[in-house]
Amino acid sequence: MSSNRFFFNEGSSSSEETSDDEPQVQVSTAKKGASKTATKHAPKPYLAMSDDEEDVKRVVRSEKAKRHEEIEEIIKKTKHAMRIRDIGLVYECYENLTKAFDKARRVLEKDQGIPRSFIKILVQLDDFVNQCWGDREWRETLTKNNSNNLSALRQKIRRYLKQEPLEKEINAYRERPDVVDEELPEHETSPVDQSAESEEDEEEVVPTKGKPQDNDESESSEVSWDQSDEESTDSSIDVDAPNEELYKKFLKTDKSEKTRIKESSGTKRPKKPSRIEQQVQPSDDEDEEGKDSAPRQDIQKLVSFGKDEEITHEAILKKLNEIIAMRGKRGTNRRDQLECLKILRLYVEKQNLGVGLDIKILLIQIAVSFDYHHKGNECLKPETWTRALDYIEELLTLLTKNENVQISENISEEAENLKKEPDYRIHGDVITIILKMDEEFTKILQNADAHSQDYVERLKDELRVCSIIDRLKVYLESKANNNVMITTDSDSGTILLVQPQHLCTAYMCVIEHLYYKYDKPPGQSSVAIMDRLCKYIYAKDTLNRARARASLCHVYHLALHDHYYEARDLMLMCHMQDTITTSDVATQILYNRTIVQLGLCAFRFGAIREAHQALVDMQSGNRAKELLAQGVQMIRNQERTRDQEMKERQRLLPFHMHINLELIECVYLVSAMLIEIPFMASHEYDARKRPISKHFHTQMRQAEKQPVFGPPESMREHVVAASRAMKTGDWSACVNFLINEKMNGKVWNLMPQATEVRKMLIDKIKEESLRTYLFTYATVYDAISMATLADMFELPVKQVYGIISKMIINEELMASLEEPNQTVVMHHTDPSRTQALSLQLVEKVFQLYEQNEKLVHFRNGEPNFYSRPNQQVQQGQQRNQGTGGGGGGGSGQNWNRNPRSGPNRAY
Amino acid sequence: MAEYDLTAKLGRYFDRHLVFPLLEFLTERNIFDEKEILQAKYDLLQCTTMVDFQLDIYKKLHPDGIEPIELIEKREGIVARFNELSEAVQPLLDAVVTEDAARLIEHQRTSDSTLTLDYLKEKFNIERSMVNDLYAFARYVYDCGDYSRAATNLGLYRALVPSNDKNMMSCLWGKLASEILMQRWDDAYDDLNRLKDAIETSSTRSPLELLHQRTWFIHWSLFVYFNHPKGRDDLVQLFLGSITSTTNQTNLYLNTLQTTAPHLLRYLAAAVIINPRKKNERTLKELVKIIQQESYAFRDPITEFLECLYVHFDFDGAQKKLRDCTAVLNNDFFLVGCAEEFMENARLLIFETFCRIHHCIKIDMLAEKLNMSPDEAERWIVNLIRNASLDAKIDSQQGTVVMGTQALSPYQIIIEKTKNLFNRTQSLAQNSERKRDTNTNWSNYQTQQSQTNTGMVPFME
Repeated sequence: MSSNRFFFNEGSSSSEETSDDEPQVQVSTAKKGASKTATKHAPKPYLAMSDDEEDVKRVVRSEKAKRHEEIEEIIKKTKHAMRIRDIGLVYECYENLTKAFDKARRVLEKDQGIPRSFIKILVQLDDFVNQCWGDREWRETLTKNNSNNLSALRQKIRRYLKQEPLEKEINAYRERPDVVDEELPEHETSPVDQSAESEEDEEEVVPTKGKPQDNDESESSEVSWDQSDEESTDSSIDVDAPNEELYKKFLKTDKSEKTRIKESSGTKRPKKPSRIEQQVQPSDDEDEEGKDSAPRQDIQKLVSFGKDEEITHEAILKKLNEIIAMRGKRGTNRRDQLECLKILRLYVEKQNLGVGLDIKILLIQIAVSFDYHHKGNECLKPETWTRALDYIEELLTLLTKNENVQISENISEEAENLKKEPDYRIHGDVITIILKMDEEFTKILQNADAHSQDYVERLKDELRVCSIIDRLKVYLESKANNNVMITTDSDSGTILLVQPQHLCTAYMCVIEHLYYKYDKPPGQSSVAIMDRLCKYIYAKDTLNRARARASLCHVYHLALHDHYYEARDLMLMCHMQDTITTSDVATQILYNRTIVQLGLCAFRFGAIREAHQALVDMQSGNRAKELLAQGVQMIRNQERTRDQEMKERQRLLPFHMHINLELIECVYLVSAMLIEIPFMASHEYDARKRPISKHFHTQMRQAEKQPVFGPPESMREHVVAASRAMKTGDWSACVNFLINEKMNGKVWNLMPQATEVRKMLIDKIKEESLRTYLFTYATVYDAISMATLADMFELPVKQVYGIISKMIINEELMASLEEPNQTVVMHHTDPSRTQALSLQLVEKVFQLYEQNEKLVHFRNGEPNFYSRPNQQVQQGQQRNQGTGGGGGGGSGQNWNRNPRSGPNRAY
Repeated sequence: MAEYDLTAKLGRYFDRHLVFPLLEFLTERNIFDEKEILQAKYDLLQCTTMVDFQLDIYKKLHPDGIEPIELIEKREGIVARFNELSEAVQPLLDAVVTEDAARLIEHQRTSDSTLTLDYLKEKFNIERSMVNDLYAFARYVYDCGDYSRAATNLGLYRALVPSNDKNMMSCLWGKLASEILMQRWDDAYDDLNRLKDAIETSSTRSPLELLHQRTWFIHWSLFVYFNHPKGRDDLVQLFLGSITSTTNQTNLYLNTLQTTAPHLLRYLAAAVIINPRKKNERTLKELVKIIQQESYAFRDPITEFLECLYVHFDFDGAQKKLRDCTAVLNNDFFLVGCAEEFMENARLLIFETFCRIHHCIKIDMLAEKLNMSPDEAERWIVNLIRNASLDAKIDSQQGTVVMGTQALSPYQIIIEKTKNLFNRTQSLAQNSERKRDTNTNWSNYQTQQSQTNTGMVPFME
């Protein structure tokens, strides 16, 4: 970790130095969203910074400062107004204030806090209004306008203060309003906060707090700032002040803090959190851990036993309970807790008190390490994370080694048995722990920059995570196979220790880690494993969600490994298309991923139509990125609330699970080309042209607007160029455009079976080019020898024969074969201009007729509908296939339109 | 030919007793070791009560072995049980043969069964439990191999109990099996339809159970469909029926076939090929689609033949497959009866497709493709032409067949297309007029309607 921190600290501002609590990357990523909007308002910092990251932060800071100033300004005005009892002015000020605060809220909430000054003024306002309201006589004297204002203000303030996050703050403030001014007790250590705070006016500096719901958790890393604060405000550190100075200042702070810790450490015990205690609390600082190597006295005291004291189960348990009781209380230091637990375990080991107790303590250790840093969405720091992994591994080792330990959430705490007896019974849930671990891991990956070395480092843990999950699976399976029974305290008697539902959860966990991984042939063992696990879930699971997810993962995995038919059938059998719109977003994302993977598989398999069908919804509307949860897409004219954005970010998949978007688009476009070009050629004279793929047409049109055709650069340009070549039946040019060094690097090599795919593609291109050629140039031939065609397209005569036969049978090509001399004889039935027009007319008349028929059969329509039938006809003409890509992120109903009869293929 | 044998696959879905005919057939065909088949038969009988038969087979298997003791003992038990059961139902059986009761039952077939029961109770003091005994007896008799008695008893049982009886399904299945084994195809055909109704109308079953029932149904139906004159038509109708009709609902039995029994595609394909062409132009297309979809799950020469012909247009390949088909057909219990017909129709299929694509064909080549001598082929073609199913002429100097031109000129196309437009519009107008009586909002529509008509008529003429 230390090297990592170095890496990041390089060239970054000093403010970060002190805030070692959070990895910087995370801060910057979290800010990115806000900063984009912020740049619009905030002035550019005049000190140019080379680091991009730094730049971002700078902007944020000034935005924040600006908001603060605004608020302060209003507060001042309000105070003045209150002093002179000008209700009208107060009212106006109040309005301004809330508005300003709303504006500033986004920035402020990033730092998870509401400015103290704001709280204060609200309280004052409240008091003022109440006082005024109470003063009946004075109220009489008011003008009508003013009294109206007063009552309105009173109502508004009341309502405003009732709001969820504010109410708590207000109450907290009212409890001890004065402390704030001298002694700023709580403070988050985020860099932004410090600097912003230093700009605050001297009176009230922003104390911050976590989001209200995890109040108690957020306090863990509080640092006292009473000393440093003075200094920093004195020197009035500006945002753009030289970094050196600031850096030193904070260093000093650190030191002073440490000395204080040492001073007080002898006397205070962390058990009783008092106000002074809080100051003593160090932040969960890693540097400190290094320097402060001597085990602290208070810890020792807490867990040490007197010399004559006998160390028994009870004694240990008592201590343990004390520690547990501390958990979650404000001001508890988790590091201390961990330390205590470690010592306790040593005792257990020394006294040989049995593995039961050991596990019990271990469970708590794990739990504590997971709430080590628990503020909102933050992820664990690598170090804590590794430690948690260690603990979990240890737990699993202990559990597998000691057959006689029963651990289950069905054993109540009272029924526990930790003493030395054959059967240990412990309350606890290993599966939940593992799930939690998994969740944390995802968070860590989400927060890491996908293109950095750091991500790779983190990703290495994937192996460990997988092995842990695997071990859990093995453990549970062995228990399940032995049918281990436990007695519960309730009347229900004995139940299985490992119930099918448990196994399902564990299996699901394995599946989630397995399904997107490509298993290099010839092993393909993962397919078998997936099959086994999924089938178990299908059979035993009682929750529909797990079953749905399992089947999607199953399909995904099969598709990934080129088991096209199985994947397709499973997809059709699970009927996900019907229910997907009502399921949760995570499942919808998985569904989209599965459909895309299925589409890619179909393409590799050569089923071009199916590939196109599967991918069309993903491509239309340009939302692939969002639909696959591989990035947040900025949509114009659509402001998102912070909440929404947060949620979207949480949904994002870790980078290593992404499906390459360019690959998807390329496969889609190529499929569209193979379908669309011959179609266009054969329907040249058609009255109404229905584009099969809108996206493809858009690309083609865009390319046509270009004044000059240069050599293609991007993937899209390549496909467009290939399409143009194909239009004239020039298959070799088409192939060259699609399969070359550039495209290989960009697209084709991403597929594991690149060579086969290329071969398939060449074959398809030849075939479709031949068809296009025949459609386009049939009019200029009287007869054409099949051998010539075979030569032209480098296809075997037999295949040419097959293709042409198919065209004749399907009445696409008006021709017939002459068997003795192997030629195609064209029947020139191509209509003259008049004829073509009359054909069109016939078609239109038919449309008219059909529309009329529809109208007649239209039962309960409103009169308006009938009055403009002509318009209806036009609409009918223009109506295209559904635009697809419906909201929410789940679509792909096209699989519904699959010709195969789907319903009722139940398991 | 063992690779194309489906007995093992089919056997899983049959009743034990129904497998015997298949095994008998295999013995005749000599494609498997006789001993193996005998052993299979022996194993099959293990769970039935046909001890004598089993002993016979045992003797064949072990010519010099001693008869196993447990079988002898089993026989005694069986006889005892049989007597016990038959005594229990005797009163009932006696009762129903009386003239009144018989007439009543005959009468009651369709309506409520309680009336009959009441009558029997009143007159002969027959309890409800005795009817249940009848079921048990029938079941036992069936196990003993006395199918005709089983069929009668089950028929009686069905008449006596209400249609929602819990044994009703088993009764229907048992009746069908008995009829099949008795080879009374007409009765079996009726039973089959009754069974189908019963499966489809029951609403209480879970999808999985329904799937099972349907799977059994499509398997058992093979016996009937390939032996009853109307059978093959029905088979096609069963699987591809809803496709040809206008209703848009998907076919349940087709789904069942795709899900659990793709091997039945062989029979479906054969049935479609044999069926007269004109009726099922579309079924053929549909079938080809299904064959392609399921090609990974099942393929055999028959499906491959269709694939060659309609997907790849590989006539040589189709020809080869057709040759394989003969072997398959001759070794298939169900298809052996229609091998000739199949070959004839398949040949016609090839020829037809060929003619649609080609303008000019050498007779020699055609003869080769059709597996005939040139003279025979020529005669065959002449016959086709004479019967007017083919618009062609033979150029005997060059030895070719020249097809009549089929290309439609634009005039024809337009006339074809607009042919019935007038009638349709008129009926539409009538429709709308009828609607106008109930709906006052039609004036606008009417004007538009007349525009259509005036625009149309001159153009057509």
